[in-house]
Amino acid sequence: MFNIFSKDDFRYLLVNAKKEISYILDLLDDEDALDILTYIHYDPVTFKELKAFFDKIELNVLSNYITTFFDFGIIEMNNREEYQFTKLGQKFLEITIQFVLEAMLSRGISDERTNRIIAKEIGVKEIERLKKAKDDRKARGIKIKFNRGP
Amino acid sequence: MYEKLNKDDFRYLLVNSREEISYILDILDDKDAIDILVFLNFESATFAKLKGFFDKMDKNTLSSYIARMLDFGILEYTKKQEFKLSKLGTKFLRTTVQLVIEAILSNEIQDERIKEMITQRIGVKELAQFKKDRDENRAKGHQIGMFRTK
Repeated sequence: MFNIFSKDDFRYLLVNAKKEISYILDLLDDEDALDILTYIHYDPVTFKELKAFFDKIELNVLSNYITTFFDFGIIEMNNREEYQFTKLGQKFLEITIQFVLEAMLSRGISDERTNRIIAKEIGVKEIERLKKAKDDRKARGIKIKFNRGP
Repeated sequence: MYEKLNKDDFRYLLVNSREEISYILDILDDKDAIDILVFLNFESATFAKLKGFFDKMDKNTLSSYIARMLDFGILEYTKKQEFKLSKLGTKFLRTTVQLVIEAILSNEIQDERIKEMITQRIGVKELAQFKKDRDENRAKGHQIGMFRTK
């Protein structure tokens, strides 16, 4: 369905969906929401289990989070009456993490634990290779831009 | 790499990357940035072409948008010296639009043009059926998503 939007419709949808987009931004800026998302991402859970695990979060607040995740199609209910991530939800988190890594590789990783996590998972040599490739591409891009002149 | 992260590391990375995440999401709150992304989603372009098309945008502003999008891996620079949306950038835009549509479908569609756009693509009957199914499922605590199986 996405592919058949015309350029104008596609732009209109993005520009006029600020309310929806701001909800997405809020989710990623909310530690409790990220905690719940991380939890469900790794283990499908019933509401009861969620309630027990996040016992410091008020019941209404927890329900609101769940409703919001449902509304955005991030989670779904499986046959065992557990909440689990949808494919769209998986993509959403995956893209977020990928962006974070891209940004970190571009800007340098200042946080020690993050540095350790990434080095452990990717490998120090691979990080250096990725960073070099990225810097080269960026330098080429920027050089062309500024050399074009007015 | 993303799948290899353990739960604690995954959570740590998400919760401690607010700065990076907010940079990315600021893009979605910026009409000029969206215009550039939409343009590049439909065709790749040299800087000169972009400059020609976005002639009301200051050249330095355009350059910093491009630099930021390169930093986050949203854009890449081709051998033909053109900027184009990377795979990650394409996924980012598509996922954003999918999340927006899911959220719009969860409520009544207020905006007439968006309503027309969506009903045109999905079909009036299909949309009504989808909304009916979703409402019923939601009442049971289940949820269905428009993009779940894609």
